[in-house]
Amino acid sequence: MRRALLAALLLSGAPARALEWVPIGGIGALGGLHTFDGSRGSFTGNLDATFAPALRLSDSWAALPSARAEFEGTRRLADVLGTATPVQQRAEGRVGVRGVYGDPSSRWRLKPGISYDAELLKETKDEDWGRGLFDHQRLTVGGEVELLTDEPHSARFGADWFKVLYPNYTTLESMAAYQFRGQSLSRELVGEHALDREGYQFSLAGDGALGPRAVWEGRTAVVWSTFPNQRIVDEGGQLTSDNREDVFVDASLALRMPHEWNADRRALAGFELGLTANSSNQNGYDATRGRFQPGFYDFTEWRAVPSATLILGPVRRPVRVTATLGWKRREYPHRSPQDSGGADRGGALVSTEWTGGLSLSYPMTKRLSLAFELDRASASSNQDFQPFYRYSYQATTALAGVRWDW
Amino acid sequence: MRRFLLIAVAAALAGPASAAVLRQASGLVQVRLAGSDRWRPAGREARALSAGDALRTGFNARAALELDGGAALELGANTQMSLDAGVRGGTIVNLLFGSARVSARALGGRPLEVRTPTATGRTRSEAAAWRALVGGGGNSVFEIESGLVAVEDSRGASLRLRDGERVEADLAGLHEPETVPTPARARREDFAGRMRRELALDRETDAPQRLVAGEVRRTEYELGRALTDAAGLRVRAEEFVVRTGPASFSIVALNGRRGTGLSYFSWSGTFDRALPVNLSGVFAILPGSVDAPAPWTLTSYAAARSNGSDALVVRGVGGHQVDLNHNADPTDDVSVLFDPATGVFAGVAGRAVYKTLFDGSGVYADGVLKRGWTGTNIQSQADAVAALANDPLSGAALTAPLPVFTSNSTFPDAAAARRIDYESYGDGTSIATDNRAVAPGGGVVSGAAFGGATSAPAFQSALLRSAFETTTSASEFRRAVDVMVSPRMLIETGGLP
Repeated sequence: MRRALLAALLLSGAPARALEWVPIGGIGALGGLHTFDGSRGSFTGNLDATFAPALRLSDSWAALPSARAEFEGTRRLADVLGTATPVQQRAEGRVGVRGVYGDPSSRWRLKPGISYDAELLKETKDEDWGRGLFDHQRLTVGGEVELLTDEPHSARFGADWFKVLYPNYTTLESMAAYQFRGQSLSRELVGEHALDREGYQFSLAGDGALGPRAVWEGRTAVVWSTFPNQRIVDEGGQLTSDNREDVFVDASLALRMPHEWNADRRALAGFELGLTANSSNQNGYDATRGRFQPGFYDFTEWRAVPSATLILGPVRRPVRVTATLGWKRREYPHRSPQDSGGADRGGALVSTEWTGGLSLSYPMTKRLSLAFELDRASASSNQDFQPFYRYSYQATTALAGVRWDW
Repeated sequence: MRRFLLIAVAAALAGPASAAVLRQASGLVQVRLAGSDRWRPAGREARALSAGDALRTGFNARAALELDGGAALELGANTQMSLDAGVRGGTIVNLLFGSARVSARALGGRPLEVRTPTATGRTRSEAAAWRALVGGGGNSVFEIESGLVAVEDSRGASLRLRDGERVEADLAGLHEPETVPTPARARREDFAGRMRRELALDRETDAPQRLVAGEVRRTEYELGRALTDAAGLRVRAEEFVVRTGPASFSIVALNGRRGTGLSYFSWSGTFDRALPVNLSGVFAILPGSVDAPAPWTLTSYAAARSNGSDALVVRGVGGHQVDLNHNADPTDDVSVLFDPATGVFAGVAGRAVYKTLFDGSGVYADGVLKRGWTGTNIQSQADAVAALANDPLSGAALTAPLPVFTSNSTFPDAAAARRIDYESYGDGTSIATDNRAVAPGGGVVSGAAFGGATSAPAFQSALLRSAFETTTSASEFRRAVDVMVSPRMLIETGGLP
């Protein structure tokens, strides 16, 4: 493998005399439980592995091919929990190459990249791997420009083109148009793979010192997606010739404040404010009451996450204990909350989630650590109509295992 | 040499004795003279530095100094240091942060100290080369390339380091000495560190896409398009309206399951006049119109449940509006009516309630007429005449008279919200409909959630709170028709008794 890589690089014209490679990677294996509103899942595990043979091609050029595989049998609280499916297992594979170009005397770095990512989901007991409804694949091509402002701080701007395919998601309506041809069971212009999307992602991130005792970190990403197979729904519930377009924004600003009592006892306090929002030209249509719902896909979500980390022991292999508290509030301005029977209440649909987390990383050897994680979420909403999606719930995830990094 | 002599003479005449000479400066290099608060550019020319003077370098900058006694000091980027006079004419370098490399062939007996916030390094041999690095919190690293160097921490503990050794020091004191990585290994570790950072940055670009994928999935669930049936199996569902003509439309609920393909419930209605684009007003009068007749009269309809090969179809023709609360039949009075606009059952007793009655209706299982009725401008359902020998819609003569039938509803599991409607025909055939309220994630909703309700409107009201699965089987069917559909859709169109 190594020989093949070297040969490939030689053929590509890279200066072989400067070539060296350093393997980077890690493996994590955690077992645990996830509970959702009192129903306890079985004991399962999460496994992730990353391997990246970093290649120094010259003093200016480096390449970072990487491969990552993940299996998630124990659901994490960062997932979309309200789906409340009886089973959820997730597997993900990703391969990519990131180039890093930078003249050693320059503050600028240019990082072109390409990656392919496939995510598989098993949400019900009759779904097999590779046949999940929401399985998807993503191809991303783009790059990042970084300006080293004051090492190790920098500012980064990224732009990527992407295409996401959901191979197992074909609209039933398009299938009906084919299967029940001649019957009025589908609308004109209906598309097949309505969730497929493509577009551009732009990101701006940076960090810097705020005096001697604090560091700020900021990040903004804008994802502009077009859905070439999803037509806009009009006031009468029919499909128009226009396609759906979404603009998704995720931004965060964090303050980190390190503190040191002595060399063996340190702490890192943090506070993060975040905003996630989506704006879409797609509308909703409630076919059970013939009601047009413009702006159905729009939402705004604010979040605040204070955290504190205690770092104990030697600098190279400290014990880390982290506690986090999270709050987020999501509002759908164009959706009306409903009572448990589906009757409208008026106003905007709002949901609030509180989370608390505790994690411990305990180094055993230079590269091996024990890891413990305990997370709890409590969500509430003014939406009481929840036959399909749970807006109010209590969920807990507990994990324990080992992590090996090299 | 001549310039150096001039500088030395000038420095000697100008003030305190020179402790060092700044030989080279590249990038941003600044000097702060003793007693001053201002940092000034060091300039490109060699200049003398005295005890009390300080020097700092910026990003990617370098500085080289020649210390009194002949030692050389190279400062890396982002470094700050100051000079002090030591004992016996020696020099003290206070390294506040950054990196410095010391090399000396012959110190001539003048001691050289490099002081960091947490330790002090002293050359102990005539020739030595070593590095001192100061990081966050004043943590220091001393690395010896050649010679002998003594390192002492702030608590007075000391040790001697030789070629190829290094030690870290922090506020807790000196750590265990280690072997210095070779230049090749150091370069490799530095590269690995930078690449680990790149790997982390590479992952960051995936995070927004992961969020978007989550939102796409969340919305599909919120819209009820990804369901789990009572058996815990995946059911996909889509509900939409198809405009089939200016005065007609269809409501369609499609289901998709693995292995069994598509199934659906559809209701198609034709009205006496053109309908508006926005159908919410039309939906509002589907169950009935209170106080006044609806502006649109449903003249015919067809409600179908099908798995693609088998179908149970109910058809009605000759629709007209009748005020059931003021007709001659007191048994069909309406006291409670579902209001699609609000989604609740409202009391309408004593008020005029116009519902649509049909002069012809038939129920067909795979095209076989099971039962039906006919009438002429009927004013009450009691006015309808059961079909016996002719198709109630086409009037065609049947090959055999329709058998009599009986119907009943049972609740097979008292602990579950489940009702089975059963029709038994005299010819031995039957039609059964198994209605269940499905809990999120699968399973049937507990009967307690229905509060013991077994009939409309209490039963229907309770159904509105859950996903709903209805399975229809008939003797004529090859397999049952299983559909998850909004109960609201069935209540509005009269498909749920």
